[in-house]
Amino acid sequence: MSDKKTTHFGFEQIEIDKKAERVADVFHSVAGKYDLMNDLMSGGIHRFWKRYTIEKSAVRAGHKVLDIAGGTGDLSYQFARQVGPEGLVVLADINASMLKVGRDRLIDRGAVGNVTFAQADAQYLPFPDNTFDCIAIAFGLRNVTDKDLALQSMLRVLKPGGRLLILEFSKPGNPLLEKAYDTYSFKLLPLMGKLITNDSDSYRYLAESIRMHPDQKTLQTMMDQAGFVLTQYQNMTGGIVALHMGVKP
Amino acid sequence: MSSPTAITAILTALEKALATALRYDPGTQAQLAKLEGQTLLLECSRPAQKVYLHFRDHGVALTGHHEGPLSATLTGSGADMVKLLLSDQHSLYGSGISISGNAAVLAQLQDLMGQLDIDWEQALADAIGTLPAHALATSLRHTGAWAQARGQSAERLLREYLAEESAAVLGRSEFALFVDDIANTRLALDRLGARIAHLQARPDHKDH
Repeated sequence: MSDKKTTHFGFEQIEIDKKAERVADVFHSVAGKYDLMNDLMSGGIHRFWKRYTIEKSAVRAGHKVLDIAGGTGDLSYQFARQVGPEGLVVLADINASMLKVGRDRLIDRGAVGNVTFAQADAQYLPFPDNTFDCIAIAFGLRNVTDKDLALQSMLRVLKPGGRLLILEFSKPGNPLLEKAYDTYSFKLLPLMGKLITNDSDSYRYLAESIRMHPDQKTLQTMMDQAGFVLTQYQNMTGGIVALHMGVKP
Repeated sequence: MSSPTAITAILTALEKALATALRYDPGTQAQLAKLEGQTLLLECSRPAQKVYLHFRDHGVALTGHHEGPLSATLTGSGADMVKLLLSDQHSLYGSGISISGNAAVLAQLQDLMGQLDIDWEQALADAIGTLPAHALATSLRHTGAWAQARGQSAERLLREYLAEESAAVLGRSEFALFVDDIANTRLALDRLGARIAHLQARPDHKDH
């Protein structure tokens, strides 16, 4: 038996140093149609989840914001409007394809001057200590290999009093909803992936990775253990998605 | 607690509707500059919900959560707030609404709502073309004027029938006379009460 450390990639166990590469392959494959698929997968509701996240961030003019796994730049665009010309938004993503799509979209929408881009790994954020007033990671944490390491890295680059927001798929509170959601995720979602991006495997991974992600309470405990205070979470759409929040002491 | 997803969806839809309405009323949109940077909180008791109106970029953004400074807070029921915002009443007396903060923001907002003059014909034209929109708008205007005239006429006839023919309700003049009679009776009773009190206060008054 191999003594190499393993981690999950969806329902599959793989060597820990292979996960980033496998996740990258998934997002290289879906980057071009990521937004379209998000709209189809969530019925457009992901826009309301993200908008609520922006509201809860309480970001103001002049703030510095880090949007990790920012993908196609939905959050960064709104953050850029909130922080104004005096502020700064860093759109970071480990995946070059997603970052390119995000950068093009932001430039097309006129979000320039107060937005910069960084290809960065959430576990090893390449920023000085105490840099950001707010960090947001939307639908990205479940793809990170070592979530504890990533949380510690986020804590380090946040300013004291700064706020972390984690928007992520979670565990529905209602068993009936969970059953319906399972059927949708494992039957319909890969089919839609096949039809739209001709890539059912990537969307099967997305569904599986959601199931392997820690539930609401577990993630809150992980945030506490990483050193965040005033941690809390807000379920949305019956717990299909949860917004976790924490503050750097 | 209400669902954040549902509230956000409703506020997003309202915000889009407002933005669309303002696009067809550039005058009001330009006037919004007076409120630029202000944030008004509508603290609704029925249904229990807070809605923040942020005036920025010549538009209005609606959110359910805000942690910054507020220009003013309006408290009351949703129906009363809508009524107040759409009316030209500048006093809050009898409105069921209370305000804290800068009341001038509310007055400015009411003025803007009063001036709102949306170019529906242009909105229709964008959707279905200029000529069909003009034909439809003209037809709607005529139908609206006719319906309004018929409505006023029907209301007058019904009022006359109820008051004069069926005598089911009091007419306006009869009611006014009735109110006058009550007022006169109350005055007479007051005078009588004062007279009795005066008589009782006389030194030669004896209680038996």
